[in-house]
Amino acid sequence: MIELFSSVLLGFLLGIFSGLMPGIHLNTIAAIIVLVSRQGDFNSVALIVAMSVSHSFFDFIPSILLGAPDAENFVSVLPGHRMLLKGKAYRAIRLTIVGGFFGLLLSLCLLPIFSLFVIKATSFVYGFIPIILGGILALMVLSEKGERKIWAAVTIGLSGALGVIALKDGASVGNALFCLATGFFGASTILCSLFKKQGFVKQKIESIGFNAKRTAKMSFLGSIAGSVVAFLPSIGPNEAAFMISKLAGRIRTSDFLVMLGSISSANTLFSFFTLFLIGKARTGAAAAVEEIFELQAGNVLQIAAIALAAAGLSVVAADIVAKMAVEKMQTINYFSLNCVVLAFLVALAFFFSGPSGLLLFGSATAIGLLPAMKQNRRTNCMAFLMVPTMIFYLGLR
Amino acid sequence: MLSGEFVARAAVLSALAGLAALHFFSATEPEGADVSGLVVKGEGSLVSLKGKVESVRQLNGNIFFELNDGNRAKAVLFNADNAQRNALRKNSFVEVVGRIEDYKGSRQIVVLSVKQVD
Repeated sequence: MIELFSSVLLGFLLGIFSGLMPGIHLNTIAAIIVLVSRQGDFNSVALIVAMSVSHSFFDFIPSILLGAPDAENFVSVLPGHRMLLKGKAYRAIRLTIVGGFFGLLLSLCLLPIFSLFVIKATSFVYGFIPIILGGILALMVLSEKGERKIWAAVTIGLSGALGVIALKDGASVGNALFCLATGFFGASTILCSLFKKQGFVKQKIESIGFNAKRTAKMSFLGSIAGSVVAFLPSIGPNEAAFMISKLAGRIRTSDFLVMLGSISSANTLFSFFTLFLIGKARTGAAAAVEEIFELQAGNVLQIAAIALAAAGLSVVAADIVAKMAVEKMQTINYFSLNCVVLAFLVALAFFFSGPSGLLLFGSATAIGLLPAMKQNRRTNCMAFLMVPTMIFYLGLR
Repeated sequence: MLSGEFVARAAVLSALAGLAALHFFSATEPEGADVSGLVVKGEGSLVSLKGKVESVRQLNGNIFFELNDGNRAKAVLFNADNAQRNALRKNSFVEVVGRIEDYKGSRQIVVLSVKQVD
């Protein structure tokens, strides 16, 4: 029992490390754990589950504060950056934490329904994905005004083409996805800040409460979305958040961040249940568990308990770390920080993917700057994932 | 309005509830093990092992055998039924769930369930 609790604690700490370090992917650490684990050792499973849950809370911190996302949460960069510019970065992070926590609690309550109904619903939803994605792409162009429609179409076309070229083996090929996501949403955001010579806006560290009704609603939406994408191949938390934001009409930035936090933690939890229910691993962490252990019904309850424990610890720890990080950032020269982060992202792209990765990163960054120059939404760059996903679901690859 | 303090308290309670639930569920869930690892486990631990059945002996409805996964462990299944007797034939590969017991200075497994595996 002590071994099991120690594994949970170690996993929680590793999740903090992987979440805070841009470029250190959860899947990389999970793969190392597989190499050193004994077959059938549930302690390793406990470690991976705890690590995945805590990672899902902490990875919003570098995404929002530095504009340095990972492949699972890059869609948080833009709303997070908006709040950073208003001096509300700490609040933005807290919103993702609250969303993640209540999303996970709701997901635990939804598990029985998930087991009974979602599997059957998946094949029904499967057929609608290309239509939904195509509709959203059309909406993205049509919702722009005047000449901006043309530039939106150009951005979508270029992003989509780059995504199709780069993501050859399905809509999430590890390192290529990192290079593209970081280029489109991370590096381009940082470059805009550098060009505009944006100084660091003084951040408020306030313990403001959360609207209970809106938090519950967005957490619930997020847990539903997280459960659906846990089944569907080639669609992750970012796509789910983006689709909901387009389909549900205007959503407040604060509500979007709550929903994103909820999708992230729900997707983490449901990915392990997907592995148990249909034997398919949709995340790297679930794939690592599949290598080590054959899940039985009793293990599912253990995983739920581990997720609950890790989430509770993560909420408290992430709040403390976020406060410290925001306070620390106020003492650092923002221009220099942006330069260092940009250089770091370039180095990571090269380290993980070599010259071809650097080329992808550079191309994505250049396309990501287009919306800023032509005054349309940078979210149009999401086409880099949506177009390959549409092609995948249409069975064209 | 949800205050930050409420969320923090809920989080702490969740963490404690999660750890308590884990303790409860783990006590009733067998831990995967191999024979060589039995020595480090506590007496009474619920374990699950796979291996080849050797040295089978039946006495008064009880089956005494050895489980070999590269190392050998003694095992006993009390009041075996027909299905269990069929599974525990010499050289068959089985997965057993049972509790660790110290008997006359050595570790043995008191088998609770057995199933034949390929």
